Amino acid sequence: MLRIVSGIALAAFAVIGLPQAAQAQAANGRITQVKAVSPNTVDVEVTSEREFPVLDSVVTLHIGDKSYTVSHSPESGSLNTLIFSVPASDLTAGANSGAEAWIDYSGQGNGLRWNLGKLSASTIGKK
Amino acid sequence: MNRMNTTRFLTATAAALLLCTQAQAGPPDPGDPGPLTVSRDEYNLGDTVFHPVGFPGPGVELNANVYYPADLSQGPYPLIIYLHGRHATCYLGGSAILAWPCTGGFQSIPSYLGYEYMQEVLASWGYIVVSIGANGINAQDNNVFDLGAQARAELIQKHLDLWNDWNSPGGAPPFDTLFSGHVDLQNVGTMGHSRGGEGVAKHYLYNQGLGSPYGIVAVLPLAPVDFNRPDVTNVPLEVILPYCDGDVSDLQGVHLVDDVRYTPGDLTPKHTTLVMGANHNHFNTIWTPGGWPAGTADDWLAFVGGGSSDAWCGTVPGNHRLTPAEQRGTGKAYMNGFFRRYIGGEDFSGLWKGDVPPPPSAMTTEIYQSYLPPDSPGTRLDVNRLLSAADLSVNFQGGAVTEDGLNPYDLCGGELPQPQHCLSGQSTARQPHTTPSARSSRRGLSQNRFGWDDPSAFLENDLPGVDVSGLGVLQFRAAVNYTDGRNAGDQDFTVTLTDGSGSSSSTTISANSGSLYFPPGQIPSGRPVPKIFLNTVRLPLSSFPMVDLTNIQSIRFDFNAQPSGALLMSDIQFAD
Repeated sequence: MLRIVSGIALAAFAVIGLPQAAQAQAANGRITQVKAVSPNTVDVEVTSEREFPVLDSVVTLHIGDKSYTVSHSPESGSLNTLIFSVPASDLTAGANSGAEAWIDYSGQGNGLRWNLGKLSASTIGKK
Repeated sequence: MNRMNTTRFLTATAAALLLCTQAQAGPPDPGDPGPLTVSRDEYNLGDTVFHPVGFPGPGVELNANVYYPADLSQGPYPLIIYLHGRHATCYLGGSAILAWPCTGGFQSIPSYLGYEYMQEVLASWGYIVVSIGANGINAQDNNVFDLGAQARAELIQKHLDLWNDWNSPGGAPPFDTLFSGHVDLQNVGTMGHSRGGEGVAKHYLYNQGLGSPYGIVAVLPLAPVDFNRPDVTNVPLEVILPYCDGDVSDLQGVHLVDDVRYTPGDLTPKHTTLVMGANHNHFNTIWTPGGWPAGTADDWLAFVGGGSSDAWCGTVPGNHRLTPAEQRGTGKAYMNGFFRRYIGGEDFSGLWKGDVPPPPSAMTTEIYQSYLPPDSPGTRLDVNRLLSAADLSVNFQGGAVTEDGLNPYDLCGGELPQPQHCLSGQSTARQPHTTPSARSSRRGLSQNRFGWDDPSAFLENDLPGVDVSGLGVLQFRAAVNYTDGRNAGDQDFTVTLTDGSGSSSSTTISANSGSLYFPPGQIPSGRPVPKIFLNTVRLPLSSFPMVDLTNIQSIRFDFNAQPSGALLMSDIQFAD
């Protein structure tokens, strides 16, 4: 079973106070929690100092060449955190292969992006 | 259960002056206020009282902002439902969050109040206009597979059920008998913004599935998503799309029209309205910077990398951005006008076919209106649908299709084996007609892709002596391929009709239409513009005076107005 992890050391890119146009550039985020919600599915919690805006286009977690679009906000409603539903096997495979992970708004071509870095056993709480 | 009421008076003097001005200045402007005094009301039955089937969370609110003719005795009046899109739900000071209901000092962000500028005007023409809240759906919709489309449909239906109660002889709280007998629930129009746009599409089908208890007679998705690709048929449909959309920047809502344009026996028109300087958010005043303390954004500037420096959509000198007030002008003209056209039966002199310039209330002339006519001999005769490879050699009327000097000359964007997209190496945000949908693998618009290097190139569709004398125009949809270096700018070419006696008559595109513009935006960047968007080009048959319209034998396109060029084209037809 996966266990909860936190504190992955990826620096976040603060944009508070920058002009609006600058906010569209890539930022960093980090996986702060992985939680099994069923035998086959995990919730992957991602946090960033730059808010994930509430858009009509679909916020998407990418792990390598796979993407995941079912998500929800934490109970607090904070826009700094998103929780994605991901098949456990995909997450493990991504960690084993060192797949790149990132978040964007699917298909929009607008440049919004949060880099999560390469997955590993430690980033998903398996080590 | 709450209710708030105010009455607003568009003074009789102002209305009379307005009508007088219209009479002097030309055709009626659909964005102008009408003669009726209007009242405003709100209802709020609770934040979590509605539970769409299978939808997560504690429940959804049933609240709305209502504008209606103050004198209801002249009704019953058609009912218009507005549904806002996805946005932050709660705020405290300058902070916004996504949760529902709002707790801990946070207050609701009232997205449903963002369309008052249209509601008030439309009500003054004799409509009951209801803008409903959907924060409870927004807070949870990414957690369901269809991204909230069905929940939105059920929410609209629930509000219609409430209005059915209020329309009953005995009425119901909180309005009691105020609206009893005054609401025409067989003449209902729906407008949805963004995810609300797919919501009204889905609702049309949901109501139909329930046996059509309400008459949904006009559907208008505004800057919509189209994740699930619902087919809305047999109802007038208009999709409004903002060229400078920084949220649904791939303009995927165009699929709503593209997907249904050849539904057999569909006797209703389909429209797209491309507003060249508009963004996503400014149609809603609550989402517009300065319109609310938190959660607002100019989506183009906030969410598009380098967006501010774009020559068209950015803030550099000479840009073509609309101000929020101008953008709302287009809303008043084209959204209110759509309902007045297809529910009220007002004509507006060809505005919906793109035959006249945008009205003054639109506050911009940079709008491209497209029209796909009903499937009726009196409104449409298809020449070439350009759907499959066979259409490149034999058209819909059985005539030969010939070309010379076109390279490439193929189809793209439609069903296999066509390539999925028409422009290689370009983001899907720049190719709305073929952009993928999050919950559907459906292909996009089949387009004829061609170019020429010599002005002797031509494309000809032979016809078996068709009678088009009862129709008004030859039309097709087309866009300039901005990736092809053979286009130096706007395009133009000559169109010739030939009749059975061999008589011919010609006109040029530029003499009749501005739709073959070079798509604006800065090509080298990774932005969502320029975009390929196929607008309707309409050529009045009166432009071909020397031919017998009862016996047309061929349509020939001679690409002789520019030394070279490249276009994408679809839907060649004669139309009303």
